[in-house]
Amino acid sequence: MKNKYVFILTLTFVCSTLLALFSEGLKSKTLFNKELDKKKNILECVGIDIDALSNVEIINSFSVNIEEITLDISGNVIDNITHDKLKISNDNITGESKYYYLNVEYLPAYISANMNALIIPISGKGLWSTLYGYFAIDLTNYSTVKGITFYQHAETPGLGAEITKNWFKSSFIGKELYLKNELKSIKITKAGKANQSDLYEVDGISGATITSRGVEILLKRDLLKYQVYFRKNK
Amino acid sequence: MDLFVHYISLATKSIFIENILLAYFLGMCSFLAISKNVEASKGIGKAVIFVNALTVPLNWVINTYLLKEGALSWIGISALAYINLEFLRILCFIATIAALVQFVEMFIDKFSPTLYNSLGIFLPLITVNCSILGASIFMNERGYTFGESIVFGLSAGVGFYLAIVTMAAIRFKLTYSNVPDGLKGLGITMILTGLLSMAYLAFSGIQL
Amino acid sequence: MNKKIFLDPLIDNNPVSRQVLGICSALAVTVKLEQAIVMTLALTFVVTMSNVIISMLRKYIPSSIRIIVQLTVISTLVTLIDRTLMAYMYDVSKELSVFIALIVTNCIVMGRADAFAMQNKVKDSFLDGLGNGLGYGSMLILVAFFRELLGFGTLFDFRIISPQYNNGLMLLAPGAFIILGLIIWVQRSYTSYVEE
Repeated sequence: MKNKYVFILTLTFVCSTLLALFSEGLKSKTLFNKELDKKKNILECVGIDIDALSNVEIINSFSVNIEEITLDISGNVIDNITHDKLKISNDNITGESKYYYLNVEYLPAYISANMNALIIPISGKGLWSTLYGYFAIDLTNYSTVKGITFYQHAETPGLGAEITKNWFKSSFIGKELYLKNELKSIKITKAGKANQSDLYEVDGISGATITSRGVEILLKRDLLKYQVYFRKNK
Repeated sequence: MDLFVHYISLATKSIFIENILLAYFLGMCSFLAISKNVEASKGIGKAVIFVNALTVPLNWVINTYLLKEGALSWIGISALAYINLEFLRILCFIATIAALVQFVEMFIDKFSPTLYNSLGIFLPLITVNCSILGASIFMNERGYTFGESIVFGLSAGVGFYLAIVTMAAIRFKLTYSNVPDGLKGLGITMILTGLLSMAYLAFSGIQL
Repeated sequence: MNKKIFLDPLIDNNPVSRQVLGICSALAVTVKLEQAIVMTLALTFVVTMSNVIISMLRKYIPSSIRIIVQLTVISTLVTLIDRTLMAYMYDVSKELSVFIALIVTNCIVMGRADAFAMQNKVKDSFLDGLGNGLGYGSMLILVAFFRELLGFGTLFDFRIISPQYNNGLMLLAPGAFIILGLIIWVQRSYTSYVEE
């Protein structure tokens, strides 16, 4: 009787210790990878080819090309609040992310003067999980789309997960967000049904209707938040 | 009311649109082995529903109050708030599942020895059924709330039940057909499951 | 004797097509060849190491808790692999996340640990684990070959067939089931094995 419990407890103890040590050892590398991944996504969003770059080159490219800015909800640029000071709060039902510092809501964004783009973080519900990504807009007219990427999601491979594939992401480039002065955002149609010459729609993913619709909804919602800033600068 | 609709849509998604077995391939081993017999299939289906409905919320509690970053802050000692035990997740999840299955086994043995006998080896085998661990892992990845984890656990189980009983019924009818030698058993079941899964794909166009 | 332990699971006693184990992941991670290869390596590592460890401990494991002991060892190994992938192959780990964790419940690992490693010497268990892992891998790679070629028109992301001939169904669940069924048909006809 005693033998059983002693054995399993010792084994569990040994395994847990092993895992703890291993996990701690690899932690910094994993965190580094996560940060690097975000940077990669932002760079890719504005059209910089990241495939050819090494990790060090990516970090350099990011610091050269991308600048962090923080806005308040009325569209004013606030100095002194860097992104790492912002606490992120995620709505469980809609997947929307809000950023707070000392209980006041702010809007983080990135500007790339070199690539002439404004990048905003986007998030919302797909079919199963919350999708997190970045969306880049042309700085000259605040209407032309420069790119979209998704860096985190738990959608089904081959279906919802197609949002990270090139064919889907590149279909957004060159599309428009505003018609005259009204935000039309991008409509995501059923797969294959989009009118390619229509600047306000793209093809959805075959077999992933709910994920596609999720992207359409989250895009419009997040763009509306930054609209005050767009209008101030147009 | 909103929450209720949200739960219904989660249940529909888990049972039909992305059935844990026919779209995620989880639970194949027991599915293939037991779908030869309709009664045993019903039995294991019910066991999966029961175990799933209990393990997913239980694992949610363990995940939230023990494993996640800052999870231990409820104890009150501030130093503990920095501990992140996420690396123990797989170990903990499988431990709760094994413990619960053991409990279910004793329960069934006491109240329905016939069911216990017909299930035989398959009940302890649920512990290593991919769909049970899979449901808990999905719960963690998708960041469900407690309520959602109950609904998801139940519906994933129901989805499994649906798939396995349907397959058992089809295979029963097959006993009178002339299946080529190489296809007998596993081969024809695979192809049938493919057709069944194609049928379920039709649900993916539903707008909830 | 030793050679047979290693060669058996490769074709004749293949874990996927003959022993009917490990089907879940054989269908899930075969959308692209790259995924299949990473999965094969991960699983082969786990089954080989778990066989070795269980075999080393076999004389000390109390029989009544052997399943739990096996699960503990396997979970630990899988967590190690999961963390390693997150640190060194971040992109791939994002794609495979759930399925790496599911190696714990992969019937092959548990099956070989219980059926072979508990009764055999360390060296034999090592070979058995390696053979089964590679046998599983060969099936995975075969299925992934067809699914990626017919579904995307590429192999390892190199374009072979132009997009207009792609069959999207190959990338979804039904395609996986049907291709596996056909491969099993061929393999069983070749080895003249009939399941009753």
